[in-house]
Amino acid sequence: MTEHPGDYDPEADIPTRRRSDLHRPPQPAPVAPAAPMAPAAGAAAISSPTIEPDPNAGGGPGIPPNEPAPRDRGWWERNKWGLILLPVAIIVAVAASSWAMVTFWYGDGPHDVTAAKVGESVDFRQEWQDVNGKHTREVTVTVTGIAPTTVVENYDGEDEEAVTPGGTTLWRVSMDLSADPEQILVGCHVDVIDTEGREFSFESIHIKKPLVAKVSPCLNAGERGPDWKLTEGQKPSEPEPRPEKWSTVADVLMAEDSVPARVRIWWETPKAIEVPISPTS
Amino acid sequence: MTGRGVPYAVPVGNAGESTSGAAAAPGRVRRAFSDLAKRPLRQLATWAAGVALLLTAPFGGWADAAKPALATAEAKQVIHTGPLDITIERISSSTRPSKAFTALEDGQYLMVFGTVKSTQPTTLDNGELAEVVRLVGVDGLQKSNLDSRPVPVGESTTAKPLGYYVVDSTMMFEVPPLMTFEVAWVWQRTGSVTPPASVQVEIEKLTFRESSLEDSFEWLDPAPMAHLRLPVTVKDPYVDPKPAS
Amino acid sequence: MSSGWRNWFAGRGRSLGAGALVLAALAVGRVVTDQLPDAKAVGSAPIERVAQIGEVAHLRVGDVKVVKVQGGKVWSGIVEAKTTPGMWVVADIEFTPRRDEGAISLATIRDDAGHEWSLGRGISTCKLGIPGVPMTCQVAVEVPAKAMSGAELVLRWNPYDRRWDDQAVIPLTIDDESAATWAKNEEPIKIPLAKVGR
Repeated sequence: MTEHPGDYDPEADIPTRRRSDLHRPPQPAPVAPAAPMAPAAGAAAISSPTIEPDPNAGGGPGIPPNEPAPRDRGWWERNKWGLILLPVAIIVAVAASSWAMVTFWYGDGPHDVTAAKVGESVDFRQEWQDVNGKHTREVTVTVTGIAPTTVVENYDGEDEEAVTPGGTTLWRVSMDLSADPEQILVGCHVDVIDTEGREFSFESIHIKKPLVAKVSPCLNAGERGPDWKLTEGQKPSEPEPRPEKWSTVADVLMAEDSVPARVRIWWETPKAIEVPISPTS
Repeated sequence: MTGRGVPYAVPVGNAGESTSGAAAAPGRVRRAFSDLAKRPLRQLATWAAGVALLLTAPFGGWADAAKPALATAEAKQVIHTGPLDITIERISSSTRPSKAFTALEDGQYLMVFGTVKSTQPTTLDNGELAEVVRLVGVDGLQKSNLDSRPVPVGESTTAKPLGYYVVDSTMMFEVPPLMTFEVAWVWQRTGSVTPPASVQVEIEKLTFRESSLEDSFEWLDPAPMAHLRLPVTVKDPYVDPKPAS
Repeated sequence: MSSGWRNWFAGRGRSLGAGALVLAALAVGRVVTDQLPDAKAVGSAPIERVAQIGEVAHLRVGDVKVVKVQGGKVWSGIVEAKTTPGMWVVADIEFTPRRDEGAISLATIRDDAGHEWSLGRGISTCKLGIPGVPMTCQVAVEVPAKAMSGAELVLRWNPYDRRWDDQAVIPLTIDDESAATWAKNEEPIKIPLAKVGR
């Protein structure tokens, strides 16, 4: 049986490289040993097995002639580009992993806000779709004021003395709107945000009287305009033509200690109009 | 230059090479063996694993896993499904079981009555109640109470029932601990006004494991564990009491 | 031959040793990981605010106070009436939402033996209020009809995710006497719509 020496390492044929090897300049070619099999006597005349650096030419790759050993480039120099690109990489990584914010948070609330001042008209434009296909909502909105009220506009468009729960105050938001009469503007929302950041919506479940309040906060009774089609089987409703310009009110129930700070008008999140406001009375 | 005078190196260790044919075979085996032994450990380990895998073939290592046979349960026997200990008692059918149901014109409600008791210390709220009982070989079952498409008879076990607490006919989705409830699993069947004469009920068991979607432990992987066939009793529909004239 | 084998192992000693060390480290690591508590579960556990009956617990979604606790076999709401194989525990609550979606949508009862009874077929009417306006509402939870040691009523915003939020914990007394009284009470406990406003 062939015996091999104890220090034979079967893994030796698998090369390993160390990271520091990447930074070290390549070593000069190893000096060839005087091999026992090399021809003796007559061989010396043919070539010398040793390599000596030629004073005029580079003795091996990467070694400049006649210079001392190359100075080690500092850590900062070596990693300059890495450090410069590091903040860029961090920003890209954070942006790439923020898909959850975009998918869930952004579309879920009024995060695309058009700000306006009281009395200033703002052109609102939003793409939306229903069963009939894609539409573009275009409407001009001007918030004119907010004041406490004891009356609520009812389903027929008339003001009625209101009965509301104890501990609440009614605030009336006044607006002027204009839009093409073919624009579908049903489904609008009006919220009032107070100085503490609490949000109050236009709704009527807590209003005891009138029994049936105004249906839409931005459309007048009997002037709804074209309707949207939300389901296939939806029956068309009675047509209600809408003028090009109209003024309307939204009666919003707030806590009695609330001081209004902002009015928000929106149809579908994330787009909304927000108007900073203070009571005008 | 001729080779004269050049020392000729003789490789060491050629002693094993013999010219005799009889001694050649063991010599070749030994050489093959020693060649093998010289190979790196990683290679040897991989080859050994591959050979071991192949060797499992004659011992059934490559055969399909056998499906466990379904046990036949008895009515009122306690069956341990995992999250719930249930009993199945009887099956009824009606076009309107009680006031809480709307009357069906072209079909009927199939109701499997039984009891459930949770084995867990906290309320089971992941739909386990609706997972443990299914019907086999019944046509026209609604897929679930949210999806009214009828399921083909071969896939009737995919139709999910709605659980009810029998005593007050209220819907039941969650099962609180330490209490035994009389329940009914209810399916809507359409397409035939005649209910089947008997129905095969299949009981599913659930496994408590970590969900791959959420990092929490849930009762998952419903798999059939027992079945029983019960006759269907037809009950008269509930009729609203007529207002006093 | 034996020295050949020894040489074989000697040549591969480094690899075999490394392999054995890796396996040992993995095994020890698995044991250590299994034994240590899960930091994420501990860190994201709900924050508990204990309040006695009649005391206010200040939650993120609003201020909640349990005014009265009663029990019975049946409760009846505006839509349906429900009975139970155990008994219903009904708490009358005053709740003032602090923000627009403030509500108490989850009520549970738990004991000190690790059991928890969730809302299930029960009800909470503490929803759809107006921020800053107090509302009077109720919750009903079904529990077994017997004494419960260390009973507590837990009220929180919503049932879907219990991490990172706070909840009110109200200690209850469910002893043999109250359990017996409540389990025998066949008179339906009325649970109407919540009343919003002072």
